[in-house]
Amino acid sequence: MSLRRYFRTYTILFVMLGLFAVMSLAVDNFFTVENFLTVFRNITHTMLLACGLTFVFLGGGFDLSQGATLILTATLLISMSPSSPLFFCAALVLVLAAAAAIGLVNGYLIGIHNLNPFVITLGIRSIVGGVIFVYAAGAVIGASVPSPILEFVGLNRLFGYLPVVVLTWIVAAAACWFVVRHTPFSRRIAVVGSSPAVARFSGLPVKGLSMSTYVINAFLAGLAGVLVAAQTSFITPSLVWYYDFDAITACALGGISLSGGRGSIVNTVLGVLFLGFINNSMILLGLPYPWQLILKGGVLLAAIITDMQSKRNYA
Amino acid sequence: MDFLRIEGLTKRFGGVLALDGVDLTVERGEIHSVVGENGAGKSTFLKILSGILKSDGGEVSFEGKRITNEDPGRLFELGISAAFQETSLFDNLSVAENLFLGRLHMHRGAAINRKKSASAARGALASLGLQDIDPGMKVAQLPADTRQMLEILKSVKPNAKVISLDEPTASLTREGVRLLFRLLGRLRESGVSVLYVSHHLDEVIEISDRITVFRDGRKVGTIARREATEGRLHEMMIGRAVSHERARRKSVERSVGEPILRVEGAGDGDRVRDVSFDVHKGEILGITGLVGAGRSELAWMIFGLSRMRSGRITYQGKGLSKITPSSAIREGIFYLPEERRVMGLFLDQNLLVNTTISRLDKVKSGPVIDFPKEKTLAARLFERLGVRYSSFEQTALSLSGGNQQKLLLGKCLFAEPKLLILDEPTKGIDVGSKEEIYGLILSLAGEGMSVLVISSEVEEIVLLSDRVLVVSEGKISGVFTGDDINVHTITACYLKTARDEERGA
Repeated sequence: MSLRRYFRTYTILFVMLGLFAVMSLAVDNFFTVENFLTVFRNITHTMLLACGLTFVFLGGGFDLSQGATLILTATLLISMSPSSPLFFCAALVLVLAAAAAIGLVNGYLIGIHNLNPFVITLGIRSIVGGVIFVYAAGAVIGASVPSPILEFVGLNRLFGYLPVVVLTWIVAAAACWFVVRHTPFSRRIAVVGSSPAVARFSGLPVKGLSMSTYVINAFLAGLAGVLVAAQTSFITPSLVWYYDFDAITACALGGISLSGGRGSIVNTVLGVLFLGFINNSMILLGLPYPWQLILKGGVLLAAIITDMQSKRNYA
Repeated sequence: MDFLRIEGLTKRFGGVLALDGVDLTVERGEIHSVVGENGAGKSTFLKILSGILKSDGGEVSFEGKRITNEDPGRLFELGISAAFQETSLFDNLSVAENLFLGRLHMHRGAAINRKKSASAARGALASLGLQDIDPGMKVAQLPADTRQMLEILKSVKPNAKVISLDEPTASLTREGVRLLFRLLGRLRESGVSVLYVSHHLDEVIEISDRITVFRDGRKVGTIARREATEGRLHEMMIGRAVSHERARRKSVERSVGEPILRVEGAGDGDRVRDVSFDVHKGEILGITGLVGAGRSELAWMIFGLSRMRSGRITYQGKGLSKITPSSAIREGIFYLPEERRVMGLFLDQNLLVNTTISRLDKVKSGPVIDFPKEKTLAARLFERLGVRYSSFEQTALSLSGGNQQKLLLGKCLFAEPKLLILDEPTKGIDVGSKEEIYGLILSLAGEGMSVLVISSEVEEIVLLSDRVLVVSEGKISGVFTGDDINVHTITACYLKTARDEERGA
C-alpha cells in the first residue's frame, strides 16, 4: 500500500472519530446502537453504488448512469410485486439482467468505441430516466401485492440485531474487496486505468477490460435497486437524480483516484461510512435540506482538493 | 561576482539522497555540461535550478541575487529557462502557439495576431534549420526529432540568460545535432549561458567550455574542455577505468535447421512494403536503417499490434496471420517498445505490477495472485538484471532512466519469450547500464533465445549482431554477415540507399 493511501486511510479514521466525539456531546441519541444501525441501513445503496464505481474509476472511466439504473430495477421490481418465491427469483434475474444490459451499452460505447464516458453515461442516464417516467406514467409506483421476500430483506433483522440489508452490503463489499485486492482481473483493470497504450503493448484486451467495469458497476447498481425496492414499498421516478451523487462523493472522500489506476475497496467503504455519518449528523442536528446539499457539495470539493494536496506530498 | 552560483545543493527523495552538497558555478556565456550515469542526480539538479523541484538545502544565486527555490515563473522572468526530456509541447496547438505560449503576439486589444506570430515563429524555426515547417501546423503531426527541436526553441526566449537542456539530442538526427550546436554557439556569443546534460560524451566534449561530472548525487569534479577525453570522463563517472573499445561479438552462423521465425514478403500496406528474412534459434539479428524506414512497424506486425496486409509470417512452423499481442505473448514472442515512458511502463504503478502484468498466470494460485511468489520471482529477476530499487512498492516513475529500462527488460523476460524483439533497447540511458544490457542480450542469446535488435546506433548493432539487415523505405536494402558487419559498410549501405531514393524522387 502506498504512503499516500495510508495517509488517506488514517485521515478519514481520525476525522470520523472527531465527528463521533463532537456529535456524542451535541446530540444525546447519536452514540447509540440503534442510531448506528440506522446509519448502516441508510448507506446500503450508496455502498453498492460506490463499490461499483470503484471498478469504473480503477479502469479510468466514469459513470453518471448508476442512479437511473438503480431506479429502473427498483421500479420494475416493485411494479411486478413478486409474491411467490419462484416469481421473485424470476423477477430478480430479469431486473439484474436489465441493469447489466445498461452497463453493456455503456461499456460497448465507451470501451469498444472509445467515446467519452461523461457524455455517454449522461445520455444513458437521461434515456433510462425518461423510460422510467413513461413506464410509471408520471405517478408514484407502489406494490399491488406485498412481496414477503422483499419485506423480509427490507425489514427483518437477523438475531434481532443485524438488518438483512446491512448483511447484504457487507457481503457485497467483502466480495468486491476480494476481487480488487487479490485477483489478476482487477490488476489488469488498474493498469488499463493507468495507461491504455502501455496495456495494449503488454498484451491485455484493453477494450474488453474497460467494458467489463461498466457491466460490473451496472450490476451492482441493479442490486442496489433491489435493496431500495425492499426498503421502500413505493418509488418516485424523479428520484433518478438523487442517488448517484453520494456514491461519487464517497469514492472521492475515500481517496479513490478519479484519474484511474488506483483504488481500494477499504477506502471506498471508509468513504461511504464517513459520508453516512455526515448525513446522519446533519439530520440529527436538524439542518434544513438545502443546507445539507451545500455542505455535501463542500465535502466533495474538500475531498478532491485534499487528495490533490496529498498527491503532491506523497507521490 | 559569479553569474550563476550553486552552493551545497541537497535534495532528498524519501530515504535517498539524490543530491548531496553540490557546488557549481556557471560563467556568463559559458556552455557548461553536466555528465554522470543515470541516477547520478543530473536531471534532479536541472529541475531544482528551473524551479520544478524544491531543494532541501543549499543556496543558488544569480547575478548576485538569491534565487533558491524560486517559482518557475519568477525564474523565467529573470531569464532562466529549461527544456526537458519529457516533452512539454501541446499536441493540439500549432507550432507558433507552442513557441509563444504565454506571450502571444496581440492585436491592440485581446485578439491574437496570427500573422505576426507566424512570422516570428518562422524566424525562430530558421535558426535551427527548420524553415520548411509551417508555423500553423499542429505539433501532433510532427516527427519526434522535430518536436525535440521545438522543445529546445521554446526554452530560448529573447530575454534568456541561462538555458538548461536535458538530453537535447536523444531523438535528434546527426543533422539536427549539428544545427543545435550552431544555435548554441550563437547563444554563447551573445552572452547566454547553457547548462547541458547528455549521455553522449563525444557531443559534450565538442560543445562544452567546462564539464562537471556527477556520481551518486555528488560532484566528482569539473574539468575544462581541453583536459577532457571520453576515457577520462568515463573514469570519473564510474569511479574506475573502463575498457571502452569492446570487442565485437564473434558472430556465429546459425542459419542451419528450421528458422524460429520466417518472414516472407510481409507488408502492412503502409510503412512496411516487402520484407523477407529468417531468424534462427539463439541468433541475434540486428535491424537498422534511417528513422521512419519502417523498422518499428515491422516489429509491430510480428507482435500483432498492426495487421499484416500482404505476405506471410511463419513462427515455429505455424502461420501467424491472425496474431494479437496476447496470443503473441502466449506463443513466446515479446516486444520491447521504443518509448518506455508511453508504451513500455505504467509509470504510476509499482515495480511488481509492471513486471508481472503480461504473465499474471505465472503468479496465480487458484483465482488469486500469490503475492509472496510474485515478490520472489521479481526479486530474482531484478537481481539478474541489476535493477537498483529500494522497495517493490515504489513507482516505475521514481526509477532513473537506466533502471526503468532494466525494469522494462524484466517485464519482457518475465514472459519467458523465445523470440524477443528489442526496439532501441538502450535509448537515452547511461554508459554503465548500456554495457549491462549488452551483456544481458548476449547471454540470453547464448541460452538459446532469438533476439531481434532494432537500433539507430550502428555501433550497437555491430557489437551485438550475428547478422544485420538494413531497412529503407519499408524494404530490406542490405544483409550483412561475418566480417562485413562493421560500422563503415553498414552506414555506407543506408546512406547510399537514402541517396538513391532522393535521386529517384
